[in-house]
Amino acid sequence: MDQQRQRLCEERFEQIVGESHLRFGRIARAYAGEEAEDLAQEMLLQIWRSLPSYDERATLSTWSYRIALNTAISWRRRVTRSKRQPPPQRCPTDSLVSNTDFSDDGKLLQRFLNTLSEIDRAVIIMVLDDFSHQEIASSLGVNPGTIRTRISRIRKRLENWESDDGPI
Amino acid sequence: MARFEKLKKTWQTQGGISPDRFEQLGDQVRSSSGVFQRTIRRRDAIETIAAVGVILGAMVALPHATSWVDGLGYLTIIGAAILIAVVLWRARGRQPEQLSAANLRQHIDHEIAALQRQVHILRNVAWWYLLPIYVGLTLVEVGVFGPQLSWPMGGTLLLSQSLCAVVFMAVWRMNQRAVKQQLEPILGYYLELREAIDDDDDERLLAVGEPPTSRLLAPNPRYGPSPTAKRIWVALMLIAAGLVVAGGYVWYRAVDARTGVFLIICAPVVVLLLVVISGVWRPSDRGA
Repeated sequence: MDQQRQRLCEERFEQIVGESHLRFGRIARAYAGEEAEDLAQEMLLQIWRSLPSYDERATLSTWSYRIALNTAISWRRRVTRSKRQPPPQRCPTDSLVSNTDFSDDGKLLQRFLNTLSEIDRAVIIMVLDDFSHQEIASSLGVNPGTIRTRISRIRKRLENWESDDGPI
Repeated sequence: MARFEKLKKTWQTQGGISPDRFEQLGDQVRSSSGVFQRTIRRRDAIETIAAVGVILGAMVALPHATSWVDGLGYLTIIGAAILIAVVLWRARGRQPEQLSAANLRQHIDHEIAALQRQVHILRNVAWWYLLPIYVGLTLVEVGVFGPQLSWPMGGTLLLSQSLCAVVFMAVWRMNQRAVKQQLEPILGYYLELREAIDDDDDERLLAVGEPPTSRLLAPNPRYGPSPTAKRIWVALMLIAAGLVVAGGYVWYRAVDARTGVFLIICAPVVVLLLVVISGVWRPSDRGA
């Protein structure tokens, strides 16, 4: 029985690793910049540890996305513990990241994300990844009305936002 | 609206981590997970063996105690070893399950609870770890050297007690520094994050031009005694030391010279050590 369970966990882990490199990679870049790979590995570690308690109430991809986002928000905890310095604010140029031609738009996007609070950043990342308001609210543990307010405020902020290199 | 759509398009066309590299990271996680579990098990085993070793050693020595004082010391050491094992066991046992399906709010609550437990344990390390052992060792030494408190044995006792106190003081300060420099800033970060989730207007956490970490890493001003409390504490310690020295002198003249000398020497030394341990001269977080 244990072996069967272990095998099931491994299959699920394979599935997550196979499907999530883009989404997790983007979250990792948004939260950890040049340390994106370290954060991505931490996300996978948390998922690996949590898999035995996966109860299929949510789809595997939503469930793992939630863990990835929680891990990303907690990433600062590890950074502060190990280095006592703020996470990198520059755009990553990691050669191991695919599509490394980090476009000007990409840099501006990263810069805009860096201006947001942790919660707003999580909200906007989920919006950009096409999650519904209901799913975002459920992932954050708040009501959908709050999410609508936050999204509206972030959009307004984006409209008024001017970066050093000009608007998006 | 157009800006937002452009932002979305940019986000979705951005590359993540390459599939091959992501696969490698997954493999590393799988292989390192077993190593991590083994390390945890080894650490628990070492701690258990150490506690059992101390208890057995004290139990073997107990029947050979030269007086009731060192007998009490051995019993105190046994009690201290049991107390330490229980506190560590409870601390680990109370770690909540991994919150796999938790939403962010639950995740943060979980982290806050875990951090608060760690802070509590480390802040009180003197009470459940250092002091019981120190008291036990002191009783054993006083019991063993008690009949020969004159020099050089009295000096040896004083020296070994001072060394022991310095080591324990260093351990205590290391723990307090870990709380102050590592755990409290992170706890503060989570507490603010928790507030921000409930707060529709968490602009104060916005990081335009200044990373929020720098502010959140600032020392938490809620801890540490006020300067007045420090002054009162030092005054009480000095009064207590004076009374013990006076009592020791009376004892020296009227009852037992060795005990009197012991009290006269030990009281100022103990007070000095306590003052050093407390770091009372350092500037208070609450301001002067």
